[in-house]
Order: sequence, then structure tokens, then C-alpha cells
Amino acid sequence: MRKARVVVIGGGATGVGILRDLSMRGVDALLVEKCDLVNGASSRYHGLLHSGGRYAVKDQEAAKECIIENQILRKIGKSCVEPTGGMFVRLDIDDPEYETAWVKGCADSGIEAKQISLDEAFAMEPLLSRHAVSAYLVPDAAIDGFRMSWQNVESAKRYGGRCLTYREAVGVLTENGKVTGVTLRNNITGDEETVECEMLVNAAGGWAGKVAKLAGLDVGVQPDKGTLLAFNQRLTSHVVNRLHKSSDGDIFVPHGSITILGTSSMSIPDPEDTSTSREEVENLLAIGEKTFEHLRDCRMLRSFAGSRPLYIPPGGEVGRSASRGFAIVDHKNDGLDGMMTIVGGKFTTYRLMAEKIVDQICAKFKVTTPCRTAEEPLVPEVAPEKKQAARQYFPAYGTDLAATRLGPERFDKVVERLEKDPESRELVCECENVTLAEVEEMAAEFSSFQINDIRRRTRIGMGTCQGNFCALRSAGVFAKYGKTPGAKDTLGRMKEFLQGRWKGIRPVLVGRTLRETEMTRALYELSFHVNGGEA
Amino acid sequence: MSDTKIKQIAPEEAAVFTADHCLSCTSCMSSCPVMEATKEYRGPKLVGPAHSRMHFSQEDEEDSLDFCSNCKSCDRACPSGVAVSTLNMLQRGEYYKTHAHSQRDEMLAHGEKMGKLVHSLPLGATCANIGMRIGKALGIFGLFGLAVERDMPSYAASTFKSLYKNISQKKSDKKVVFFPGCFINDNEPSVGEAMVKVMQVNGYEVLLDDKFCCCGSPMVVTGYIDEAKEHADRNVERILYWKNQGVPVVAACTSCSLMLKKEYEELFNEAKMKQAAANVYDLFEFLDILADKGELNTNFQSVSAKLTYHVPCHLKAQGFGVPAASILRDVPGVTVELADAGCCGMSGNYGFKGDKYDISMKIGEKLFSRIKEQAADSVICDCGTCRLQIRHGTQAKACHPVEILAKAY
Amino acid sequence: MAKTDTIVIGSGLAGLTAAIVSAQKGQNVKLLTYGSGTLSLNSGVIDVLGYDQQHKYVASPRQGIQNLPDNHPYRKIGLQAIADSVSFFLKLTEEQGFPYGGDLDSQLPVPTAVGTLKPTCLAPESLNGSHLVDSHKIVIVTVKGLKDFYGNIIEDNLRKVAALKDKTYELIEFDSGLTGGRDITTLDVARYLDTDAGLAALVALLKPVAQNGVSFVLPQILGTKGDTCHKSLKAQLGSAQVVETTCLPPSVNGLRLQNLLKGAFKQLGGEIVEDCRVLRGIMEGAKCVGVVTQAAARKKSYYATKFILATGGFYSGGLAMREFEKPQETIFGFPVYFVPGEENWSNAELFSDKPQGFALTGIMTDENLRPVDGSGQVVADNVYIVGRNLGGYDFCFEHSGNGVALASAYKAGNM
Repeated sequence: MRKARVVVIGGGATGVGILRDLSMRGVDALLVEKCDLVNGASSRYHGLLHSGGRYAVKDQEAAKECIIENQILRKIGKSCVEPTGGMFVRLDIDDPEYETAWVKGCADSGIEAKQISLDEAFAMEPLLSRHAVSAYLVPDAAIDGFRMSWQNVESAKRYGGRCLTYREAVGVLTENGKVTGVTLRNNITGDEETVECEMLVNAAGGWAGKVAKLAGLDVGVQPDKGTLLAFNQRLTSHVVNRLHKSSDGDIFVPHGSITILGTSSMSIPDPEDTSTSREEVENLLAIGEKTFEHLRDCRMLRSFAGSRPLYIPPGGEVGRSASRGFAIVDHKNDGLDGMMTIVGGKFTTYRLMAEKIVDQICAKFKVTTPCRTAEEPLVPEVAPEKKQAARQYFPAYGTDLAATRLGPERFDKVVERLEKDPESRELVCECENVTLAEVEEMAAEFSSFQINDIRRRTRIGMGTCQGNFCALRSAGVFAKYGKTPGAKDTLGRMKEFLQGRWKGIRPVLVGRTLRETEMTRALYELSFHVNGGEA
Repeated sequence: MSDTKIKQIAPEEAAVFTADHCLSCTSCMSSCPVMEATKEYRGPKLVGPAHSRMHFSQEDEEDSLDFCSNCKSCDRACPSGVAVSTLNMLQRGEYYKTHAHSQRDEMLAHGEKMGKLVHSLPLGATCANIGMRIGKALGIFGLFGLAVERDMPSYAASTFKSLYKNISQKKSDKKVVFFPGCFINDNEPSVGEAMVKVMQVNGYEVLLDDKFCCCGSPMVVTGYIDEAKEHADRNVERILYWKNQGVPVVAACTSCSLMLKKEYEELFNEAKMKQAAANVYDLFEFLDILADKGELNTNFQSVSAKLTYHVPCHLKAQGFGVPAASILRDVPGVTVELADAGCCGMSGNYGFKGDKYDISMKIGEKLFSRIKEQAADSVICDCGTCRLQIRHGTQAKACHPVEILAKAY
Repeated sequence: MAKTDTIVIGSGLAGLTAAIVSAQKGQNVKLLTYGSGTLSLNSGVIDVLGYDQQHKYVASPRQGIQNLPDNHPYRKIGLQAIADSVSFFLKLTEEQGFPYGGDLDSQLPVPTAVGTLKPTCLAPESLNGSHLVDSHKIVIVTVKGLKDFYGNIIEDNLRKVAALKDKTYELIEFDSGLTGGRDITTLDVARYLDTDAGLAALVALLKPVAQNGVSFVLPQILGTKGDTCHKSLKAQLGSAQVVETTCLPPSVNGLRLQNLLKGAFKQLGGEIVEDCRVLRGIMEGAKCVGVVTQAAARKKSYYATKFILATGGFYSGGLAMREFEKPQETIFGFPVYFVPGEENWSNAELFSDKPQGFALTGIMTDENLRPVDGSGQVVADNVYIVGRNLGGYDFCFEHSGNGVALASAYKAGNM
């Protein structure tokens, strides 16, 4: 039977942050996640590392936390953070008084907001609406949620931390008012197992209420759906925020090769509901096109949604005005010793949240090792000379991206493959520049159960063609290298992968997206006859 | 049923933004002659359009970009209006902002300067032609990185501009300004003479403007993008001047006309370039418009000529069809058969590069064998460097279609 | 003002076919095209009808067509014209030296790059998978460095086909010697196999395995020139069968068919104007007299008596929809049929047993293929709609795309 001193439930940013912090302080910990990592809000958001500017008027506590954590994450997570800088832009239709309040709020929160001339703003962001009337630079950045989470896990592993994906907590074992273990179901095989533990940390985000119920507890979590749009190109070079009272489609984040526009806010009953509707898409476009007037002529790749876990204390508010702060609940007070829930908060402050709850756990365990998650980088960087030497094997513009995705150990392995086998230099994904060697390496990982798992680690299928070409190729590679039972069901894996793409494409099935989809179907449904049937 | 009253038209976009329209469908790859000839070039969609999404990641360069010949087959194949080759040329220009040019490229980009120098010396052309033969024999071409297998185009004894002064033209209210381009001026002035004759017969007086300079095409393809922009500015200013006078500008070299009509705007995206383009015509496009209005002089004399027509890529990219074929077919005694064999492989100065010679000849194979099959009296082609390639690859005679038309008057 | 008899807009299967049919009638035909058409993405086999509206397999396209709903393009075209178009196509390909086989009463199984068998009506011999059933051993030939073809996927899925599950399977790899530069495509290998050296190298690999009762399954690599390569290969391999699969683009067989059609059109004196974006029609009441095109730097008009619109669907740009619920025919602005409502626009599953609503978008016509409005009134007397821009059918779901293109083009050309 597996044992761990602490079992963390939920592989979002908070969960992986807790796993890392516990492991670094020498507490034996296991993280379990019912899907792949960051299946909830930690990847289904706009990938913005807040400077705090967004909260400078409404919630200065949050703003202060953001700017501090922002600076920490830039330092420890160099390969997940792209320091794009941020720009706040007020349009002629926006309230000038809000600008005044915002400037003061930034100053009060310790956020450096530097006003620039409109000429400078237009030079930096050529597509920006000429209705802009004032612009400020702030230290916003883009952050990759997939990568950040895996790197937390990898960091934890170096300290003995463990992580199991596709394991869902389905029962909490207690004895005399104390947690003794947790029952897990393997969501690939359906098998169940019990893990013995002293402490359960419920970091299940939108699902925290559901997990608490396993132990008969009640936690007030309101899943709040945020819908976002991904565009095919970088429309901006900075994170561009509208300088007005926060609304839906008013933040553009240049995220690698694409741009993410978000985010709406809508209370929903079920955190699993990541569907998006045409109406939500229309809303985002209608607001977004105020900042970038050509928006509707830019190719949308897809829409996606995630649910923020808003903590609702009794009598609290719901929606955008609800607190973005976080709460730690020790269920000892509810009569169950050894279970804690952490809920709420935001991606930018995940590390701080982890630190706070781990402080409390360590106090219980009488562990005095201080938190060092703010000092030590998540993963060592790939040495520049290694990158330089490997450039000959990677496609143009591909080496640095591969190095940041892979980290030093895997990078070495991939480079070795590329060196030995020139054929592995082929591009499986030509839109995002992913080599066969990298896909092979990831296909063979313990955590790759579906092509989608490989996708999140490599970015295959996330670019222009949304899987039209790489679906076949990755199914071929996965069947060859995949170690999981389903890897050989090539048609099933391929359809599952394309279906995953379809889910996001469907709500934006208009304009140029329609063109791409007609091609997808002609290739797979018509030419490849993936629906099967008699012939 | 849809509401048909409101037609939603996407606003016209600058070429650089057309990368967003790429569906990654491979139409460009099927039609790229360079990909067919070499495995070194990754292919159109994987260079300009694909990289446009990745430039953010690091300082880097695409090695295979050097193989794009800017023939524009990809642009023509694209169903989505992506200016593929222009994106490639912009990327090449970007590369050379931080990298040094070779002496060869310096030379190939600046044929105009060489021509001026040669023709400013007494017996300059003769000496230069002898010099080039000696240079080739001594292997100096090879040292420069030029194709040793090829003769450099020989200089004409007199430039078109100097010959022009001796042509006595009938004055007319109807005027055009001729943009001869470097090749016609320095190497094949007979094309210019034929052009003047044809325009005169059609009631037009042909003017020259000394202030025109090289269109910049050789610079663009060798990565001298800033210099090409200077040329564009100078030429556009003159074209707009003539536009204000109500005098159209006519070019008889399709690479020049494509540059003035389309590539300036695609590359540099300035409103004045679009305005200027509207006043520029390719020669046979101009004659075709006359024909359409019933104003073309069709008093043709019989000319006995069986012709194979190689339509240059840069003419196809202008989207007005192949009017020279239909005009010449109306000349008694003339038959015109289209070679229909793709790119000739020369693509401006591409085929002059030593390391591209084999590719250039491989691309041209289909055309060469078609020309040999058709065994015409002469090959006609509106592009000067295509004609060089045809002569080099087949020993056939090759001339500009206007030279045949001139014989019919 | 120069005037042609017929102007065809678009150079996919529908456009080229309509142009050939028109030119065969002695007409003066101009074909205007922007982009190279879809044949380079298209498997180049003619699916007439593979599945009915309930996704039941249609064993006889002729039968299946008669059960289609009234607003389906085939019902407008009529069975006679469809049958004639099939005969026309078989004759044309025969005359051009790249014969297709098949008929309207049965289906040919075409193996795909994922190892399924796809039903089609007409195919060249190299894609005819019925030989697989008759063989005892299937040898899958992969190509070194070809990233679009996976022998393991094909074997796994062929084994799932009832008639093929008991065969012996073997995978062998062909080293074309083309690796070392960029990634290669089927088109690269096909061009290599156009050469004597390439063909000899493949024969050397296959001959030792080529016994009676063996079928080779290869990607679409057997040359770019019709069936030349397939014929020579078969001649050298005795009684063994050689079958190609459909593949990711560039599709070699689509390109073979494109060459055939373009060649046939040019032999008939047809003219193709490239890079020619048609902007709008010039209408005199319900009669079209010309079209305005965008050439470099200026517009140019072409005039004709008859117009055939073969501009394709969303992919090709014949249809566009910049805003939800506002689809458009991009040249003439003809009324476009579409399924309103978000819930009807698409299915939750990308691949399912229902047609996709959005795929039905297109122009509705009268029986002569002229565009009609919502009340059935013809809106253009001399403009004929052919191919994917026709409304009321999901060509992917039904496996009917090339069939509708061929039949509608044949009918429109003959109008």
C-alpha cells in the first residue's frame, strides 16, 4: 500500500505549489490529480502574471501580493515567464476618474506604472485602437501554466515529492475523527487503491466542495467560469489591459505564438462545465474590439473556459466582485483532524498560498524548516552554450522554446536523440515547431496517457492548423512509444485528440476558423474515413 | 437563407498581416519549384508564414530561407491570399540588417551601377564583355560565388537610353513614359526600340525619365531591403509625378512591372505606393487594354513565326492573363503555343549564384524539354532573365513578344 | 470588348470539369482562378455517395441517391446527369491515359493512411483496395523519413476490418535516399519514383517479397504522372498487387488528376487566368454579362454569355461568414442557405453519426443549377453553381464531395 505523510488533492497551481513547498521542507508528500495536471483554472486562464495593476483600485491587498509574487516568479520561474511587460490603455470612452484612482492605487500598492506618450504606445503596439487616450507601462508578464506546474512537480521530485495523474480521490478514510487515508481511483484503468496518510490537503480548486463532501464536510466554493479566446498570432507584444473598471474581454496576453483574450466571469453550478457559448464569444469580441479594432479579422484558433474557485464565506458575494483572496480552512474545527482545504486566490499568488498553508501544516508536524520556495528556481536553466550547440538540430526559432519546455535533463535527452537520429529532427508539429524527438521523449513519459497529455507538454496541435497535420503523426508516434494501455488504439487516440481541439473550435466556428475546420473534416472524415464503417 | 443586402468585406490588409490567413494547407508546397529541385528548402509555408508566429522566441535565422527564389509560385497557389514570398523577402531583408553581404550579392544586387559604369567608359561595353569572358575563363566568377557555367549577360554597345535619343518619334498628345529597367537598357535595348515602334504605330509618343532608377527587384531578392526602399521612394515619386500629368508608366520587363505594381506596396505598405501602382502598366497589359477598347492598331502584316511562349512567373502573378498570346495570334502567319512548363528557374539573379545554379537548371528542365519538343522558330518571353535562361538551357532563340509584334507593323 | 462563350470561376475538380465539358462542346472557355484549387489536398478519388443521412453505408450510390432529401444537390442534378457524368469521367480519364475504374452501382474500398477502408465510386487502379481482400498477405511499405505514414497504425486498423483480420501482415521500409535535407512528403517520394532510378530502387525492395497472393500497401508515392509508375511497378512484380492509400496533403493522386484535367482543358484550347480574384458580377437584371477581377494594381473585367461558379466552400473562399448567422457567397452575393441557431450549427462531436449543420451551408439552385432565393425564384439566369458552394449536403459526412462536384459540373457545362 502506498503511504505518504501528506496527500495533496488537486494538480492545479496551488496543489503543485504545496507539493513543492512540503517536499522542500522535508515533509513526505504525494499529489494526486484526477486528470492531467492543470486541468482546471490553472491552465484555463489567460496566462497573465499580474503586476497587480488589475487590482490597484478594487483590492489593494491583492495588488500588493501580486507585485511581490510577480517579482518572485520572474526569478524562480524564468523558463515559464515571458517578461513581456504590460500596458494599461484608457480609451476615449473610458472614465478619466478611474485613471486617476488607478494611478494612485498603483503608487499605494508599490506597482510601478510609467506613463508613456501615445506615439510610444502606438509604436509598441501598432494594432492598438487610435481611440486610446492614455497609456502606462506596468510589470505584467505572460506565464505558462502547464509548464509552471510541471516544473513545480519536478522541483518537488528532487526533494522526494511524488505525483500521480489520472488518480481521483473517491473516498476519505477516517478513524476516531482523524484522517487515516484516501481512496483513489485510477481514471484510466478504473482500479482503486488506498493511500495511507496523516494529512489530506484539499487543493481541488473548483472541485474543493466536492472533495470536502467525501469527508462529509461543507466548503463554500462557487465555481466562476471565465471564458477566453485564443488568436492565431501575437497581436500585441505587451500584455494589454483596458484601463477601466474591469470587465470581460479587456485583457490581451501575448502567449508564445498566440494571443489570449479574456476573461468573462459567470457563476456556474459545475466546475466540470468548461463549455463556451457563442454569446460569450460575441461578448468578448465586442469588448475586445474596442482595444483592437481589427480583432474580428484576426483568426481565432479556439475558445476555452476554466472555473475560478471563488471562496464564499457565509453571506459573501458572488461573481466579479467576489473576493479574489484565498482562504485556508482547518477542518479540525469541523471535527475532522488531518484535513485542510485551501480555496480561492489567483494563479499569480499560488506560491504564497502554498507557503501559508504549508506553514500551518509544518506547525502541526513541528517541522521548523523555513520556506525556501521564493529563493530556489523551479528548475535549473539550460546552459546557454548547450542551447547554442544544439541549435543545429532544432528548427529556426525552436531551440530556446524547446529548452524552456524541456528543462535541462530532458533537453539533454532530446538533443541526444536529435544527434543520433537525424530523422528525429522532423517536425511533428510544423505550426509550433515541435520535433519528433521531443514528442517521442514525451510520449514515453509516465504521465502521458493521451495525445492531449503530450500536447500540453510540447504544444503540438496548439497552433495554426489545430491538429490537422500532427494528429496523424502524434498518433503514430504515441502508438510506438506510449507506455500506457490505450496508446495502441490509434484511431481512438487520434479522434480523442481532434475532439479535444473541436471542443474549443466549435464556439468560434465562424470566419477563418470555419475554413480550417472544413479542411480538418475533409482530411479526417472524408479522406481518412476515421468514422469507420463498412466499405 | 442569408440576408444578401449587406456584403461584409474584410478590409484590405498589409501583406505582413496576411500570414494570419495561412491555413497551413500545403498548396504552396505542391507548387514550389525550388522544393521540387532541392531538399534544402523547407518550403514556402514553413518559412515566411510559419516563422511569423515564432519570431518572438529568440534571435535566429532560417538557413533555408536563402533558397527561396521569389518566383511567387506560392503566392499564386495560395487559396488564402497569403503574400508568402513577400514575407520571405522581408525576413531575408531583416537577416541582412545584422549580417554582411557577400561580394557576389553586392554585385548581383547592383547591376544598374555596373551598367552605368560600363557604359560611361569609351568602348566600355566591349571591354566589359571581353573582361567577363576572361573573368569566366580564369575562374574569377567562381571565386566570387557566381555560376561558372553561365555567361554574364553581355552589355549592348549602346544603352537604350542613348539609342532612344536617335529615334525620331511622331509627336502625339497620347504619351506614355517607358520604364526600361536595367536589363533592357544595358543588355537588350532592341526590346525598347521595338516597344517604341509599337507604341508609335498605336499613336503614342514614348517618353523617358532619367530620374527613374532600378526598380529594386535585384536588391530585394539579395536582402538589400533598405536600399530597395530608397529606390521605391524615388520611383514612386516619379510615377506620381507622371500620374499628375496624366501620363501612364509602361514597363516591358515583368519583374520591373510586378515590383512597381505590387511588390512595393506589399513590402513597404505605404499608401503612395498603391496610388503609384495604379499608374503603372506592363506593356502587353497596356496593349490589351487598347485592344479591349478597340484602339489597338490591328493592321498587321504577315510575319512567319512559329512561337513557343514561356509566360514568366512574374507576369502570371499580375493576374491579367497572357494577352501577348492572343494579340500575337491575331498576326497573320504567327502561331503561339504556350510552353506551360512552370518556372524557368532563373528568377532574376537566383540562377547566377554559384550555389543555386544546379537548382536553377533543374527547375528549368521541364521548360527546356518542352521548348525542344515544340521546336519553334523562336521562344518569346516578357522577362529578360528568363530569356537568358532559355538561351542557356536550350540554345534556342528567345526574344520579347513585342519584338515579334514590331515586325507585324 | 472581348467576350468569351463561358467563364468558369475556380479550378478545383468542379471548375476544371465544367471547363472541359464546355470546351468539348466547342465553346470558347476562360477559367479564372485564385489559388491552385483544392485538388492538391484532395485524394482524387470520386466518392459519389458513401453514407446516407443516418450514416448507413450505401452499397449502391445509384440506389442511395434516390433516397436523398429533396433539397440535396443530387436531386436537382438528377440521376441521368449523374450517371452521364460518371460515364463522361471514365471516358475522359481513359482518353487521357490515366483510366479510372468503378461504376455507379457499387463501391470500391480505398485504403487510407490510418488503415481504414473508405468507400468510393471511381478510383484509379492504384487506389483500388479490393485486391487486399483477395490476397493472403499484406505487406505495408513505409518510407524512411516520411512522417505522414505509419505502418503500425495501418496494420492495427486493417486488422480490425472483418475481411482482413486473418491476413498475414509484414512491414518493410523503403529507403528513398531522400532524407538528410528537409522533411520529406509523399510528393517528394513520388517525384523520385518518376525517375528510372527511383523505380528500380523500389522494385529491388519489393521483388523478393512479391509472391502470388501478396498485396503491397504504400503511401501515395507511385509517381506524379498518371498510372505510369504503378503500371511499370506491377509489370515487374508479377502477380503481386500494389495499392496506395489516401494521405495527408500534398495529395499526389489529387495532383495527378489535376494534371489530367488541366491538360485536357488546354488541349481543347481553354485558357486559364491565374492569380485572378473575381470580385463581383456585372449584372443586367437577372442576367450576368461579366465579372470584375482584381489584377495587380487594377481591376479587369471579363465578359461572357454564360458563367459557371465553382469557387468552393468555406475553405476555398467561395463561401464566407465573418459574423455568426451571416454567411455569404463572396462574388455575386447570391442568397445562401444555412441552418440558423447555435445549437444546430454544429454537433458536440466532431465525428458523429449526424451531418454537421454548418456543412450544409451553400447556394440552393433550381434543376438547372441556377441560384435561387428563399422562395425558389432564380436570381441569375445564366450563372450555374457547381461543387462545394452548393447548399444542402455535408460532403464529408456523406462521402459525396467529388461526386457532387463532377455531376454538377457536368450538368452545368452541358446547360
